[in-house]
Amino acid sequence: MTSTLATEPVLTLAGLTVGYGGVPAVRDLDLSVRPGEIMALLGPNGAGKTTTLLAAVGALPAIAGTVQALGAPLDKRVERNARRGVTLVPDNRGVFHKLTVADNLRIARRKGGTDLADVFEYFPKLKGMQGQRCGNLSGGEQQMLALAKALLPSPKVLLIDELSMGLSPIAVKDLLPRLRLIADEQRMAVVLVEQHIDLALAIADSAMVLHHGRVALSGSAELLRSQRANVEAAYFGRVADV
Amino acid sequence: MSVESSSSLLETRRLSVRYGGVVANDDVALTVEAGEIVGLIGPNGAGKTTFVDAVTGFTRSTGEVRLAGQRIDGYSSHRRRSGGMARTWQAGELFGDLTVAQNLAVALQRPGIRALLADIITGSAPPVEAIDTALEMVGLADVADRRPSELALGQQKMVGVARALVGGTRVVLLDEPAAGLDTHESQHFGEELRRIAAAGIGVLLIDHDMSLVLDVCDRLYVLDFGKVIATGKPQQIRDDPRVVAAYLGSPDVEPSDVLDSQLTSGTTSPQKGR
Amino acid sequence: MSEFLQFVFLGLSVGAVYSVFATSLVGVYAATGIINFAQGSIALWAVYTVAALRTDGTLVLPIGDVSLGSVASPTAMLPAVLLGVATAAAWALIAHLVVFRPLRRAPALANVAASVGLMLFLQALVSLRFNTESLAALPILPEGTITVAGAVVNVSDLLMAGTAIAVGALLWAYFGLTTRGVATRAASEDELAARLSGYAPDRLAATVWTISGAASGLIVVLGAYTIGLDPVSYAYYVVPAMAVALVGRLASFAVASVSGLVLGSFQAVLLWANTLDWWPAWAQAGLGDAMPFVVVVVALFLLGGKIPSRGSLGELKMPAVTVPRIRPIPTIAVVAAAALAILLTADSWRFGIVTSMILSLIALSLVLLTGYLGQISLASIAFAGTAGFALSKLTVNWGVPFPFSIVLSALVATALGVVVGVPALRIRGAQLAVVTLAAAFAIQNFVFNNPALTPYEGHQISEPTLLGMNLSVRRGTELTTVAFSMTVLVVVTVMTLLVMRLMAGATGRAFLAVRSNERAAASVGINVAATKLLGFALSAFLAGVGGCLIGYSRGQLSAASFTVVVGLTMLAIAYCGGITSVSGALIAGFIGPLGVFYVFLNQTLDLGQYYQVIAAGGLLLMAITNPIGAAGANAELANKLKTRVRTARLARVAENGTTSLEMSSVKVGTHVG
Ligand SMILES: Nc1ncnc2c1ncn2[C@@H]1O[C@H](COP(=O)(O)OP(=O)(O)OP(=O)(O)O)[C@@H](O)[C@H]1O
Ligand SMILES: Nc1ncnc2c1ncn2[C@@H]1O[C@H](COP(=O)(O)OP(=O)(O)OP(=O)(O)O)[C@@H](O)[C@H]1O
Ligand SMILES: [Mg+2]
Ligand SMILES: [Mg+2]
Repeated sequence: MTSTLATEPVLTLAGLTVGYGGVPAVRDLDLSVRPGEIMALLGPNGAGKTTTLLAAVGALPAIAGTVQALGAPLDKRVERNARRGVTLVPDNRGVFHKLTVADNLRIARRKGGTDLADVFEYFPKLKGMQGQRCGNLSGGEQQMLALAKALLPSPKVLLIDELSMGLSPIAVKDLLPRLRLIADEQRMAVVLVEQHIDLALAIADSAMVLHHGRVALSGSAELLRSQRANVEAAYFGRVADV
Repeated sequence: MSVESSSSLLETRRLSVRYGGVVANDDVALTVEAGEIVGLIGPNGAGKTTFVDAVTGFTRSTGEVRLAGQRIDGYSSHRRRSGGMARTWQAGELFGDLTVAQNLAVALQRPGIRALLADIITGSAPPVEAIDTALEMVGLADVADRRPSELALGQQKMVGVARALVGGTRVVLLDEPAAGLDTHESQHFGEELRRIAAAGIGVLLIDHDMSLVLDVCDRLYVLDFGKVIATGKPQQIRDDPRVVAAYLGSPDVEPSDVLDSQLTSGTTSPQKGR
Repeated sequence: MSEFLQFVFLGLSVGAVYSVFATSLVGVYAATGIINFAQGSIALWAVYTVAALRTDGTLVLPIGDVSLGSVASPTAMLPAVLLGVATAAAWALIAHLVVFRPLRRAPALANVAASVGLMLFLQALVSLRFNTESLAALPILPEGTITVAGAVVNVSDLLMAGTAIAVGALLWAYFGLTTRGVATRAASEDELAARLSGYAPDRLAATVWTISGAASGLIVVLGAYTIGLDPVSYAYYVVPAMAVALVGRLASFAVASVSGLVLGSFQAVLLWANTLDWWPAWAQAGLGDAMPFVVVVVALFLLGGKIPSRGSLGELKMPAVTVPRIRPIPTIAVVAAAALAILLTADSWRFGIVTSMILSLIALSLVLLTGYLGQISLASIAFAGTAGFALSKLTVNWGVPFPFSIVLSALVATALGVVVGVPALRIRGAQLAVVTLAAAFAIQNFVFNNPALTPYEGHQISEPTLLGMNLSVRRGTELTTVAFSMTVLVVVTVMTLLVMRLMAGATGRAFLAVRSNERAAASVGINVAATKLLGFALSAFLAGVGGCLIGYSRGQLSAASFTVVVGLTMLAIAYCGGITSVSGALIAGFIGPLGVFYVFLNQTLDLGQYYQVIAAGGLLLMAITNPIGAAGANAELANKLKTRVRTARLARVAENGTTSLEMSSVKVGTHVG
């Protein structure tokens, strides 16, 4: 365990139940992350990962339970939370197709955030594409832009839905360690949803497996790495003795 | 229009696409035989989606596209589909206003004067059986009456695949169908793909999920900067140094190892315990 | 030559109004995706406010007024202008806060309906609140002249043009150069993503609404002395302004700004051309209105792509659809009720019922084309009108007998529908709405209102007879005969049933597929272009039949039945009734102009002259409270009940701790370590 875990959580979901049209998709979920911690939120398709992240930024109202962020209850307005430093890379990427790459980045910048030059270092490909309309980019290039946009303001809590989706293996291998470094250096708390269990566990401090909207397994990434069979089992909603 | 006797199901010759100054596809030659699963991989922005767009008529291209020997470049997209060439989209592109079952129904019943008369005179119920079969194949039978927006991402992808498989498909081009699928779903999907190919359908698979691609594909093509830089059996491709450099990254290194090497090389970040 | 130049400059004042309206429209569209039909009405309020202040110092408010002076000492010019501009800005802001913000997640069409409602409402309110008969505009800009290349030019015209260009430049700079402006464009594309970047889309939009309202108010206030003041025209200046905005694809401020000025000059030059001997008589009316639209359509058509390209977000959000099922008992009940109503009423009430039935057929044509195929069309009433005019020619000049006359006339409308549908192959969404509006405007001014094409005695229509039976609407003192009413009932019923079959079948599903995603539709083998033309053809046919029935019900056709305003009202009413369902069309027919609801207001409540305010206000209210339309609201309610049942069932399943998918027992929430 790293020393970072000693500090107070920056995001806490407590007894959270959330869903669509009154039908819960996630029930009674407890989750917390601390500065500098990377948490992998895992689970099969339809488990409720996206739903959880949406609730954690205020984009979906909770049916029951609470969300605390940066020492205060979450605001109902997503933009307030974003300005306070709690934001999300949604699974549709949330890039603006009609704007150029440069404009996409421009509106994401904040005082006290990361330098544009640094972000271009993370995603060198984007540097040469600044004049392109974002809608013309390839899927993976859009994913890079989405991540670049999210990193620019240096949020305190960054939620990333489907981190590696659309990225080539080499890009993923490059990105993950970088994310680890950023989390450490900026003390950024990161919750990432990822389908590649091993990739996610490799850089995470902690992990949680959802199944049918409930926590099937959670613990330190270290432990889960050593108990891969249990993780697999959790994907089917089973938890063997641990 | 020349029909060659011993022709591939899908074949492109010197296929090129230009967007302004960018050459997105550069003289791509590729074949897919009936019953074969062919992988198309390459780094982000290599031109894979562009290739699918060109083959299915959604972007302007030069060069030849042949379906069972017959030249179809110059045909409109819908005509290519009627000829048996189907595709999925990287971003899903489902019909948000239709239920899952109706999404498939439109691929089975095309509009026109004949359909119009049928609607009025006999009424045209959607062909339930074909739809159910296709939905069962991708495990979506129980969400047939839902709208796509109510489904999780992985399920949406599978609706797209099912939609591409109904209505007399001979060759199907799948653009990252497994992106967003969890490991099990992805394995399951691989098995489905084999079954689809076994039925005689030619499959072109684009995906970044290497365990899936290396597992199910009979042959692979690797694109980089719009050009085919390698082609061959999965085993060959995996070891090809050019492919490793451009796309795969070092094969033996797991991300955790990369992590370690980067972290120890001169950064001050705290070591991750393991 | 100098005469020509003189007219070019004379047109600049009107051109400046077009120009500022157009750039304001582009701004609002960039910020919200809304095409604001009320832009002109908002400015109209400002100009009357200034006129009232300058006459006797009264600041007229929507309710009540404040006296800031007297006839002897009216408000000084500068404060009056500032106050006037402020009212326009305030109206725009109110429109945003009260009407459009609540609708931000509603289908795009809800916004079209609401902004049409707002346009009609404000215009009616101006007439009610201001003494429009006696108020006049006083000069604000200097009245001097200068001579340019032999032409005498008003300084005020030049100043107007200068203001217009300055407004355009300002808006361009805001959207192109400031981060806030860029974020505004972003927020209109993806609200959640913008929020996630820390922007409040509402505030960004509010800024643009306010600026655009103020700008539109200002230019009209400045130009009113030159252009003239009446309670109608400025509201409709928005139509040419839209065409102008379209030349720049609703995206370019520079193009919109300059094209507005050019259009103003062009129309002035046409006026001059009318005085020349060699200018043909048929071209003396409406050409100024028709020509620019042809140019716009051609320009757009050349620019547009057949299938939207990657990354273009052409698809409009549309209300959900309830696929119709023909159930015998409700169908028979509705038809029987209509028949009974016809038999039990007489004269104006029965006429109201007949009108409502016909209107519901026209609304149905909109349900098919707009609700199902997703092509927003404001030209449907023009299709109806064209069929009506064809009917007049066919029955009077060629003696074509009754049922064939309708079919042939409707086919003429169908042909026109296909022609108007051609731009739709490459122009989509809100832009298409404007193009069809332009087409309707061109047809209205160039065909319906063209004296050269209208016979002296008006457009007579011969009485319909069938197998010796007289089906005409009037007999002796009877205003509306049973025979005619029943004929209408039969025609409308048959057409409606046929359309319901279509909607429930493969054609309906294909329409919905095209409506929701054209690229995907092409990728499943649908010929998108042919499907769209089919939709336009069918819809125009339905509207054409409706137009013929209107013709027969009046015995003589007047252009007033088929104006652009009627078309706008029809679309808005059809939307509020429920644009995606047949029952919505019936509701629309009920509340449509001169229908049952009108008769009720007129006869029972004696409020006929308030029909426009009540209808427009009602429209607005309905659009805001019921963004999916009345019929949709009912369906929604039914859905909610269904969901509640499902929720209850799911909850029960969850309590038992098992779902059908899980065979083994589940241990939930077990923590590791
Ligand atoms: N808008 C919606 N309306 C109704 N139900 C929804 C909606 N979005 C998601 N659901 C349902 O809620 C459940 C959880 O969905 P969610 O998107 O959170 O899953 P997920 O874990 O993110 O899955 P994936 O890995 O496929 O993205 C699913 O059963 C899904 O069908
Ligand atoms: N309309 C366009 N105009 C300009 N450039 C374009 C256009 N469409 C695509 N491109 C560029 O062409 C290149 C190839 O894009 P393509 O989408 O084919 O890549 P891809 O191989 O599918 O990548 P990914 O794996 O990220 O999906 C990209 O660099 C993209 O930015
Ligand atoms: Mg998800
Ligand atoms: Mg791609």
